[in-house]
Amino acid sequence: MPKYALLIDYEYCTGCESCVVACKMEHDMPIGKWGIRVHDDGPWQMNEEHEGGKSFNWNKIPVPTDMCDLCADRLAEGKKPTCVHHCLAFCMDFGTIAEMAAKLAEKPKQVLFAPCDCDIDLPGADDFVIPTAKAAAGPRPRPKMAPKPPALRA
Amino acid sequence: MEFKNDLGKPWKFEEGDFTVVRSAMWSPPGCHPVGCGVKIYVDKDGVIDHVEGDENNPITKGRLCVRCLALKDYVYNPSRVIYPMKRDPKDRGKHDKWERITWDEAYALIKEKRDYFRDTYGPECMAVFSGTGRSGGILVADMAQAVLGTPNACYTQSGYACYQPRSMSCSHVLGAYYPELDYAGGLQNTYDNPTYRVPDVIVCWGKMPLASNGDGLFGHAVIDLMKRGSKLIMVDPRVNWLCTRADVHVRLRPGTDTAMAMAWLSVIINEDLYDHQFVEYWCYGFNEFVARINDPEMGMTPEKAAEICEVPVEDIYAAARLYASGVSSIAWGLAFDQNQNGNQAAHCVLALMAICGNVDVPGGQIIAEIDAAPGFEEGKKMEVNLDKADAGADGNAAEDAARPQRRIGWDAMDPELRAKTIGYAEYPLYVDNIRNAQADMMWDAVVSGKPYQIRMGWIQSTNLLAPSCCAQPQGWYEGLKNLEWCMATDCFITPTIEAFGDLILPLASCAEKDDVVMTHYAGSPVTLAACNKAVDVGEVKSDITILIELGEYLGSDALKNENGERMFKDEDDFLTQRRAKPTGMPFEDLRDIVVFQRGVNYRKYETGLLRPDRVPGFLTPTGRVELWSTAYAQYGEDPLPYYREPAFSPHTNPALAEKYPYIFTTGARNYASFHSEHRQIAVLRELHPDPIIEIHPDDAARENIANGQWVEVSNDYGRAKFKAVVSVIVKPGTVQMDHGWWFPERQADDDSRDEIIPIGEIATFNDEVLDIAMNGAEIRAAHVHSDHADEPGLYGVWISNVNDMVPNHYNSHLGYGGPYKCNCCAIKPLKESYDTDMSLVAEKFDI
Repeated sequence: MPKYALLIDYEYCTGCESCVVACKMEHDMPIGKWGIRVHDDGPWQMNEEHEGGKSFNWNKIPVPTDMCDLCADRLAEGKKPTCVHHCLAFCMDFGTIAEMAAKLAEKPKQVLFAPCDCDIDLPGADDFVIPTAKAAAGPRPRPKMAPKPPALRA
Repeated sequence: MEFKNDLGKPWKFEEGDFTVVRSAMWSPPGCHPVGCGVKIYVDKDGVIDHVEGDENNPITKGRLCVRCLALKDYVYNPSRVIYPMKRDPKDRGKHDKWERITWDEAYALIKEKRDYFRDTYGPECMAVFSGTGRSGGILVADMAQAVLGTPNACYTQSGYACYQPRSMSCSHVLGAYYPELDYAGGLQNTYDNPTYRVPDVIVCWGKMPLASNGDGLFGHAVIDLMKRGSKLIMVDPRVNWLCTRADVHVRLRPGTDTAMAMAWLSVIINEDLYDHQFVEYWCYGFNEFVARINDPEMGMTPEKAAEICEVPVEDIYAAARLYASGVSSIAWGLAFDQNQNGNQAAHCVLALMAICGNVDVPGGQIIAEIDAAPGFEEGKKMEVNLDKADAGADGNAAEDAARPQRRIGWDAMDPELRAKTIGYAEYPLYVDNIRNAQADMMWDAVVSGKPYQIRMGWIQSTNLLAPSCCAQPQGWYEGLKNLEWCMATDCFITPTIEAFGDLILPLASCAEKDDVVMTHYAGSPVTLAACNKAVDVGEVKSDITILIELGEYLGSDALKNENGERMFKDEDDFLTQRRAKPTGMPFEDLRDIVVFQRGVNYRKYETGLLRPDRVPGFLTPTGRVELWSTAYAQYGEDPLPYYREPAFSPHTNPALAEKYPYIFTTGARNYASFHSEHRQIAVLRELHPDPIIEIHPDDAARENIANGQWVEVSNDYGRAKFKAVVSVIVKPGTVQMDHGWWFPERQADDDSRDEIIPIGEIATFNDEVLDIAMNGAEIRAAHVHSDHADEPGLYGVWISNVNDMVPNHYNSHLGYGGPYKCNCCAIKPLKESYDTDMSLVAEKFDI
């Protein structure tokens, strides 16, 4: 089960790529492999009438890859993931899904990633709990299948 | 959730199998003096395992950029030079001819050559060439004047078009050090310190501080301040990322900054938005200044500026009014320097700061105080030598005032020898202010041998053939081939050292030496921080150690004290005497605390702390901010600002515009490199593998260029290849090109060289433009005839060399500034791809 999440405030992500390189150094990843990459959308003009400030869209969003392990070795030592530690804009945060979800509600232009399962218990991890409908209702029953369709005519 | 951190740990501590050294970074690897906090993890064998950001640093707080995160790959790079090496001058350009020698042999060789050239031709035939903003680079004048004994130190960029044009304007118009954005770096608890206030408005003018950290301003402090409520005004032709978060973005035409700044002044003066008390108490020549701004011919209105700068007039009004609406701070950048009209733009921006009352106030512009002159006593009037006491970049105005002999080398030099400095007669303000030969006049000297030939060179912390600084590097290449002997100090064999080097001394990186990082070269009251040695690598030495040892070996009197003894015992003693001084502690103590925050005294013009004689006011002849500049007047420049159209603009020469329809700018920085450095660090190269040109979609369509396609860009001076990024980031009709490119994965004798058109054949199309009389000197355009066909390509340094398209001698009247950001070109698509083969880079530089 995913337990922890990365919260990214992309109002302030400047695309400095410190997360990208910190991750590669931490995991000793070769050229062509990444644990996180910066998605880059822009610049493009939102309003053709005006170009003098807040008229272009340009968002950069770090996106963890399938090789992200949330820095399990660092977590085991009680340290934050290296991407969060080194972010120049301080726009990345890490914690339990419940804790990060509470911060997500505080301002717009944020995104929450739960890239992988993680069974490490960190102190304070149970301080935030969001009871989900799914958890309250127990496992979802297996749905019935649709009736078998008739064979197609040649 | 709480996580473990290292807050409060000593400068050196143990963690598991590692010894961790806390330190502050400057260079090498190249960077400006921010002093970002690092923790260097060293294993039991004394080898760096990895580097992390130090959360104890009051400004960076654990954050770290990609270049320091990859420090290990720089320190142990297989292509790094870690022993002294020599090569026979007949084998220049051949990589396999370098031969390892000892430091003793190296010093003996230098002494032999220095003595020969000094005694045979006179010491002025030697020159030390340097690059930008590095810890060793700022020692260039000392290396030339104190160590070798020649007056010719030279930062080779046309018009010293990086920082000094601004700095000179500060010392002469403002009478203080460079006024920097106040980001609370010198205050305990920084933004939360009660004496601080967050600026209401931050202006980034011709500056993108996030990637550049120019002069030591920690760029991401702007993000910190935006989160705390600062509004943003961007003055930039490009839509850089910050512009998309700005309240006002003024997309001016490149090179028109002075017109824009005069228009802001017009709005602020005529709408009476300025600080009357500051003007009355602390400014000189306000009435004349207002008369100039409102002069129908020489002055400026927002409407006129809108036409010149090609922006909507309402943006100018909005920007000026927003700037004047509260406490505002301007971070001003390289665009002021890379412009022939930049001294005037700087004059105007200083005037904006002054008349709006933003100088030396919390959240405005901060300035370091100047020490009291030695012998100063409270209540006693003292005479100081204000001629020598400009607040220049070397941070020693107080001592200059009382003891002009202090500048080791320069002031001790025989005045007759000093007068031989290249360019002294033509540009006395420039040469006196920086203790450097004027760059464009040096270009003349190396290509023509006039007024005399430069015979011995020292390539010191610069890769001047790469498009990092020099204008017309092909001309520099031709000229410097005439050096009879040339030594170099660096961490790598760059194309420049491969081309001319006969001896290389290996430099220590930040991980292998002690140093002190002075934020903003000590001109801002922010921090002084210890760079603490963590490991040993080969036989490398720091620039400072080389200065001390070589100075002694050569018997330089300038490096001896009154008793004839060595002035600096060792590296740490040098740091104590010359760099750690404002901390009031020796280097050994600074090492323990790593970072010293200097504290900030605001409004120092009221208390005398901006002058060595402790008289209230500014360090100018009138004691005030000189809106009418007595220094400009004295040196034959207009004492008031005026707008001058860029030399290569379509309005100056429509015929040229027809041939070269695109305005080009260069010099925008990216995170993966510092100018020409870091290309051999695979993990960084991967972020930005190829030299790029940004071109607007309309222009790309017209020229049949697809996104990602390679193009050739050219003008009368040269040509270069880039990979196209088709984007609305640039205005239609304007392109932006990468600088600093060479390709260390290629061979020294790479065959790319034969594609180059010989200089001279291409520089003849329009004599009117090229042989223009300017600055009282005749412009000598690039008439250097040469056949390059058989010469090595020097790691592909000519392939994407944008600076080959920038000419020398397009300076201001005072010898400053060059047309790097407002030039012209034509573009054509290429069929071939020159994409970097990352597997080759990885293979060659894998550690």
